[in-house]
Amino acid sequence: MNTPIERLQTALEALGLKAVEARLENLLEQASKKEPSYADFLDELLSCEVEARRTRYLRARLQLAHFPFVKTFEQFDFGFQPSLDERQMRELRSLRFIHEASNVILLGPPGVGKRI
Amino acid sequence: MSVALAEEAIRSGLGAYFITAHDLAADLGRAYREGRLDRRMRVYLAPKILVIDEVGYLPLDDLGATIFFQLVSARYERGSIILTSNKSYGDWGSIFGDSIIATAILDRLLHHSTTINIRGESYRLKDRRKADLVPPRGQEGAEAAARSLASDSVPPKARQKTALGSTPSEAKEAHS
Repeated sequence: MNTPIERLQTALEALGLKAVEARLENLLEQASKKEPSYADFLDELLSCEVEARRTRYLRARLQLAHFPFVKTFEQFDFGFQPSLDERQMRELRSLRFIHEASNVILLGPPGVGKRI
Repeated sequence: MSVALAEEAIRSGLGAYFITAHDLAADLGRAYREGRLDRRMRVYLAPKILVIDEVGYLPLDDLGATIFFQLVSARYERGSIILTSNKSYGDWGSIFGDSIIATAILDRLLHHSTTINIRGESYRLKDRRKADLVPPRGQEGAEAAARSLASDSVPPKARQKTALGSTPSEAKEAHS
């Protein structure tokens, strides 16, 4: 007869819950120490899978996008480009223009940060 | 900024695709010659955001310009384009080989759009400018030409709607 842990692992594999499977022993050990409620335990278990899937999905999307590099807004040096209007930047970052199928045209000489 | 915006879009669950204007024209040109333009076009129509980089660094041939126009038309009011260019609108005729197709492209592109002129100095030239070796870039003439071309090509009603619902004066601000 298989142990409960082995049966759990078989079930997690069959369901494709890889993140939970990888962290199962860790999660069980923590739960026996902290004694969370049933709901909290389940929540932690499933959140770990949801988070892992989201990360995987984003990584795949980023690869599909063919960016020459990955640069986030946080890394963009706005102080260097005083010609940029902060309010306009906030508006663009809200991504409302995408939902309106509106375009953004960035004009300027080479090297000023259009592509970034 | 184009990549940062597209990256942000992906984080919020939207699809994005990045390509240079030159690679785009080459890829779709090949598809056209092989009789599968419509199918290949879908790659560039599907994502909610299409970044077209470096428009104007290399001029497009007739086929490239026509295909570019088709793509801009097909995405019109369906999906956003983020476009980067080193040429102001007045010089777009030279990118696409003639001013009629350039005007047609600008028409659709600018109808619902925000233009951002980044006039700051080049990261690469910054230090040399400091030493007064390179004079600051003069863009005023080119932009005046851009304004006149834009006002020729875009009907007055269309201009009211530019720049994400902001007023025409604000939209002009973005051009100046």
